[in-house]
Amino acid sequence: MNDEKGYWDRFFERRLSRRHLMRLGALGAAGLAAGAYLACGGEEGTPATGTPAPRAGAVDLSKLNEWVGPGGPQAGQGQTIKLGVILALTGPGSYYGQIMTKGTDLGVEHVRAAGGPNFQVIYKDHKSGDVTAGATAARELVNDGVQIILSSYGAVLGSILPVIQPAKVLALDGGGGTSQIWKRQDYFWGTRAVIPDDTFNGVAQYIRRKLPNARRIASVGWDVGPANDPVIAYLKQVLAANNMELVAEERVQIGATDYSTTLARVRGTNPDVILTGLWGLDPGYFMKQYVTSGMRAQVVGAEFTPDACQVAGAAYDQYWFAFDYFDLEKPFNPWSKLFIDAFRQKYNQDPDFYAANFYEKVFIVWELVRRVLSRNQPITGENLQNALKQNPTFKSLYGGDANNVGTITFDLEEHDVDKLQVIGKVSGCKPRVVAKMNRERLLEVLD
Amino acid sequence: MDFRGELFPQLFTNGVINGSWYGVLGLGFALILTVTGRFHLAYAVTYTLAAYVAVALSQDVGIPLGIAFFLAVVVASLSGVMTEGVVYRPLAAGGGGLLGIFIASLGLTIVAENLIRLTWGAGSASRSLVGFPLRPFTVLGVTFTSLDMAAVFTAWFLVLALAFFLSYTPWGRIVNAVRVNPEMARVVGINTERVHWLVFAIGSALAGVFAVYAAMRFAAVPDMGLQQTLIAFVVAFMALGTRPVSVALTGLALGLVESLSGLFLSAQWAPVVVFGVLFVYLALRPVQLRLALRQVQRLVTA
Repeated sequence: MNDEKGYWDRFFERRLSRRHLMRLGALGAAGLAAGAYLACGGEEGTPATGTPAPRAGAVDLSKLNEWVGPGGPQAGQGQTIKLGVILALTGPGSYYGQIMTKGTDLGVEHVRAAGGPNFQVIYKDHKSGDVTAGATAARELVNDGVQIILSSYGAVLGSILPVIQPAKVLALDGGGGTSQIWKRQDYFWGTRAVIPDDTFNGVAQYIRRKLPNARRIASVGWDVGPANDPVIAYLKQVLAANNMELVAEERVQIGATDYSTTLARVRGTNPDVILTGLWGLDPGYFMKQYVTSGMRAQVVGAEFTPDACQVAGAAYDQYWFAFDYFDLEKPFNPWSKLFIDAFRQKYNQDPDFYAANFYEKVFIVWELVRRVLSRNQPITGENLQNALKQNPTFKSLYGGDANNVGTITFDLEEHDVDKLQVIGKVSGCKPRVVAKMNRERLLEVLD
Repeated sequence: MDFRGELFPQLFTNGVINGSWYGVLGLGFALILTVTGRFHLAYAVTYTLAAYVAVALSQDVGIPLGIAFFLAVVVASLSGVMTEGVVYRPLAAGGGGLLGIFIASLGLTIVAENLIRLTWGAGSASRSLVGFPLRPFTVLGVTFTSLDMAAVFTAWFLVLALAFFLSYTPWGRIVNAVRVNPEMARVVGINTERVHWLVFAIGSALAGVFAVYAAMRFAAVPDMGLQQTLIAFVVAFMALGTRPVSVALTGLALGLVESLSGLFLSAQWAPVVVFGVLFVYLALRPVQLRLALRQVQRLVTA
């Protein structure tokens, strides 16, 4: 450039007449107005369903100790304990990160109010399933002296295991759980059912009752490499036991939006039912295109979130779901009701099962801390895991009845839990439970 | 694989729909690249912004869908022009070069994507654009929707309109002149700065149109633009120029190859197929393809 003056100098010399100034002013005003509008549009706390959640009154925490155990110095009161949390804070799964963060924060608040320790939460981002980010996050937490980690995405798809196991740091996963592939891993425990595997028996039995002519089943699921194989093998086994067959197995990229090729391939196999192993917003994209694909098969998904329903709109009225759903309409027990009320009051939105799982996980950690302290042992991952193995049963938001809180029990071999699961239908983005089941069989059919 | 069943015609139809779409995106990208020399990766920002503006205007403000569509395309066009005026040109004037502009473009794309996540991030940043009368049609076993038909019709209308503009209007001929020889164009008194703004406006508007279609067909998501921009790049690179019909046909061919790969491969391999086509093209182009093209030319001129 042979001119010593810069671009902007020349720009302002040439352009800044009164007329140009007015034009720029108008453009700037329009830009500011648009910016202000956009900022308002994204106001934090807007319920994802578009329906304002009712605000609860003051939430009474006085019965919390009765349900979850005593507080006080022996329960860690006055101590500060680091709690690492690895979530999808950015990326396509950031919905999960946000809702899990809220559940965790509420749990920490309630534990402190009930006379428990002050959990110093250290959040780390795995960028929606990035294994490098997951391993890095775990390494940073371990280096920071953290002894307990709450993880998601199935130990962030296994990437944190080589970090936590040699460091003897305990990790609990209430997001993806153990799945089939990360079971029996030392220091790693799943606090939710293995989805979709644990639903297969109940769903097949429900289909036999409600769709007696359905024989041909197709599967559309995330491509998670070798982790797909045991799921499909188990699905074939369950279907065969119920006089059904798997006629198509389509794998799609995580976060895919265009399902036109997948739907064309599935349609060619003429299925009666399509089981989807899609999470996040993906079931919404799938259903939006499915309803115009010309197929009439019943779709049964592995998750319901208001976000995905917002993407699909009315198409979700044709969607059934099956997983360890947390029922907001009919809370399982009094602690569930307290959690729902407190969550609505704090965040002005409905919780979902991820929020419930992470809230519950904080209480599992507190119970472990209480047990370790009662033996005058230091809070280490090893001692915490030993405490879990000695008594694998914990108080839960799931199960129970109107007077008693539920429990979950870890399988000491598999490192997972057999949680109550449901089959649900959707109408206008409102989910409705139509059946209850465990991993072995259908327990109750409501509709 | 059974080519006589429903699968082949359905995948072929899907390929035509997606390919028409790719053609227009490639056309917008190619126009900007060949006339201004900017590797405009921030095309993704324009694309995403248009989708979100359409959703915000239609669903949050309540403006009728058609008007929201038009305004979103205008915003897309302005965003392209502003990117050129505020980011690229100062960098070019400061000796930023091709790499500097590319890096700035990449940075802008990352910043804009995250700004959208922050702005619309209460639940998630995904927004679905509803309001178009979405009706499925089944003809001879092939299913498509009213939206697919509208998109294909719009795509080819825009391609032909742009072909007419570039070939038969004074401004179109000026654009061609700047593309072929910008120095000569400057010497004969053409204001190349204005021409750059014009092509950014046109190219960005083309992206805006299909971003709004994408928000209706799928949803508006913060990272929706990058994948489409990469496809637009592949189309632009393979089209060997900016003749609108050639670029659109290249996009159509790419869409068909991508979709028909579904005869043999599962859908998760579709992006691999797109970039595989580019790889094969790059590998063959310097030698065999050029020879093959010469043979065709000889046959045509003989």
